[in-house]
Amino acid sequence: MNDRLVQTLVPIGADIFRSLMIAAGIIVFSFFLIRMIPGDIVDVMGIEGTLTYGQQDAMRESLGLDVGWWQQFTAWLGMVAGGDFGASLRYGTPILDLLRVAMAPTLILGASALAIGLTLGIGLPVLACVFQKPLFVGLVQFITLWSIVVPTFSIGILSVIVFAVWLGWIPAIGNIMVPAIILGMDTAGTLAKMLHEDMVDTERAAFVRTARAKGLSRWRIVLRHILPNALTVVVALFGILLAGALTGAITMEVVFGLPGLGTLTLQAIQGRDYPVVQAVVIWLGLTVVIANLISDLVQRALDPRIGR
Amino acid sequence: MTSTALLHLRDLTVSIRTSGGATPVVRGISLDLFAGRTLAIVGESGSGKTMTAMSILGLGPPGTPLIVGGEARFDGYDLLAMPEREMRALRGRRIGAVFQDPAGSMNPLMPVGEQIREAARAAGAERAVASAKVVALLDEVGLAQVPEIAGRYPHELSGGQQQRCMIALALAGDPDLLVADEPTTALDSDVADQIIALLADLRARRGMALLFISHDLAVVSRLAQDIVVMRDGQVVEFGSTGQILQNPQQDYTKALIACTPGTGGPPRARLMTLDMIRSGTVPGPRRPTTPGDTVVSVRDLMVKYPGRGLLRLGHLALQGVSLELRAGSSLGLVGASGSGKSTLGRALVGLVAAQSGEIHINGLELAASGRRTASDRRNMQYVFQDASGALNPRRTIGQSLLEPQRIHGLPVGALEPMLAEVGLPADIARRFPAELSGGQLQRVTIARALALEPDCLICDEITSALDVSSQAQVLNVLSDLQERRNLAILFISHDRALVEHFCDRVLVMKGGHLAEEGTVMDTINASPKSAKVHETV
Repeated sequence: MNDRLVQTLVPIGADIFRSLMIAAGIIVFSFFLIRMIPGDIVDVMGIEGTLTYGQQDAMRESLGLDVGWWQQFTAWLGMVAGGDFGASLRYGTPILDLLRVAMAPTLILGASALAIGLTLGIGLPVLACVFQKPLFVGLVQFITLWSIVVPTFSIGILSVIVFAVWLGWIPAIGNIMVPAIILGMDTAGTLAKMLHEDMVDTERAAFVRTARAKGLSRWRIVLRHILPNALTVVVALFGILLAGALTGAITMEVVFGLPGLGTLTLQAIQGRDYPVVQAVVIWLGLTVVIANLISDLVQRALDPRIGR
Repeated sequence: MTSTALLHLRDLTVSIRTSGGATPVVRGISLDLFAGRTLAIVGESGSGKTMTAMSILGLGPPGTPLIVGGEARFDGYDLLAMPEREMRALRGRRIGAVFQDPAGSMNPLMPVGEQIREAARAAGAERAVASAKVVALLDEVGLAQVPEIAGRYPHELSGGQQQRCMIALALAGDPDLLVADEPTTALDSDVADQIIALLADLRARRGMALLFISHDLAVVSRLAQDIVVMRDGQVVEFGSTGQILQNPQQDYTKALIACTPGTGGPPRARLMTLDMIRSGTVPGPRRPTTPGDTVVSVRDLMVKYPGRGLLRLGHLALQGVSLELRAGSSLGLVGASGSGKSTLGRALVGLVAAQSGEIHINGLELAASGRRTASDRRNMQYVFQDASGALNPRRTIGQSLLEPQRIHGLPVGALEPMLAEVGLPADIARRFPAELSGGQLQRVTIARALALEPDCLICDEITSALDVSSQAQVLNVLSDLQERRNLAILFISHDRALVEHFCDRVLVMKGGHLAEEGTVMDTINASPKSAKVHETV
């Protein structure tokens, strides 16, 4: 029994260790990535023509941008290790405060998009599998095609024009329901396509024939035998779906004028507000790493054959 | 008479609807199975035996609409006119089913006890009763002494234990009829014997009827009271087991009996084939044994497969294996799947690296790392289980046959004698693999392996995908070749009867070790030790 515990825990430990390594990589990567864009915050403000060269040098010195990248990197790493992401170069406010304010709309948007995506993305293939009617299979195909063909930002802009400007049903700025539906349908399409294909494959498995030979009802065959087996494959997708929902949320925020993480990031990148961009990239990166870790662990819990 | 039959089929026809119309797979089957009796349907693959059973259960393959005609009655119910809802009530409660592939036939994500409980619940057992029933059923199929059996997942059980669980599952509704579709085909022969005995015992104890479907007459003869022989969707012959085995009327039945190793005469005898019966010829003489010099010798071979990923341990596939293979003799290697018999073959030809040990061929040592010179490779050739996968589908048979000589820079020989040597007509050289039958393909791969005139041939489960009649042809071809060329053959198989028929000496592998060794006569006379080792934990 003890042996079995070790056999279960060792691969989980390996998963967690791998996630930590990736997280460390993201932290390093985020620092250098934003510096790949030419020009720093002082150059950006200089272009606006409000600063003399003398003022620019003084500003670089005060912001700590005059020393080499390596020195900046070690200083910043020391701060991050202590849980301090520093202050925004532009506003001077602590970044954690900025993030806290911006996070709420993004989390609400991302979570409701994911909820809609999971409901449609799992529900439609299940209905298609249980009833095997052209209507449900057609719905699966429609939502799949929709997510491939229709980019979220274009349908977002279109909805603002139609629903906000022409019809006046929603406010042009600050509506969260419409972007959540748009993102949810996008997520659902990817999920529904994979799940539907896996369920059709699983239908042919010998154990499904056994379930039919037991005399089980169609619902029970689908929910207890086909769906869990098909899900073991799809669960691996969960991290990617979450990443998609988050990045999608960023563009949707800009289109629908939500004061979330996306708007903050866009402004920070355009203004070369290095510590803000780094903090956002780290936060998003860690979210995806954690989501991937969770989907790995869920997969392990679902499928007794993995890692034993 | 017919009114009392539990299962009553008259002119049953089954067709599969395809884009080009309907393809008939069962063309008018009539049979009666009475309560408490065992009826076997015997036939080769494609004979329609499985389709017959599945159409009774209403369990056609998903997505392929079956067109069923004729008459099928179970206990008076018209099976063909029944709506799905009523069929569902019959399945599990009145008719249970056991399938060929025990590993795939159970949900891999559910403990076996839970799956049996689900079957009991579906058959109408109350919640509390169902749990008690699981324990009773597991006991009934001989798994009571396995610790925590009900909580285990299918992959944690051996093949025999899986099939026992499947039988328990099929019996959860106390059916009047159990349909068993090739229940022992995927199992090793020792385990298959136990499953047959269990089925016979259960049938007698429960007084249920058993419809047993198999390609193997030897298996069927131990269980069935009546036998239906099927071919191309039709009944060839019907009768009691004694009648069919002792006094078969049809050529096809005669061939089926004669070409089964074990029932088909003494060891090393040439086997009868359907063509021989048709043409009235008799099999050639018994192959003589004249063991010559040692061709291959192996000392203390160890093979370890590396583990995958971080912190995962390797798996020891072979340990301390030593053997000797002589010219003109066949050495059989039997063992359960995963026992390391294929790994041994692969290590010999250098497909996997050995960690330690020595391999000599004709007195010369081969590199354990698996590196081989061209002449090393010429001396030892491998024939694989899956013949259609071993031939390039885009090359003609002729092109494939001449490739070894081209690779080794040898003068390219004529195709006709190569094909004639394995009993194939010359015009096959122009055809593609997809146009040939499994037996023909396997003879082509043997011909290709012989193109380099090796001293040693490794045959890895070469007949396990073949029907008994094709198997007989392939074995006869191998016998001829061994006699003519003084070949040393390492014959790897999970089928003990087959190995004992074909080989001079038999090695039994278990968990990467050689478990026992002996001449064929030894192992037959002294009943094999490993058969007594109960496969339950």
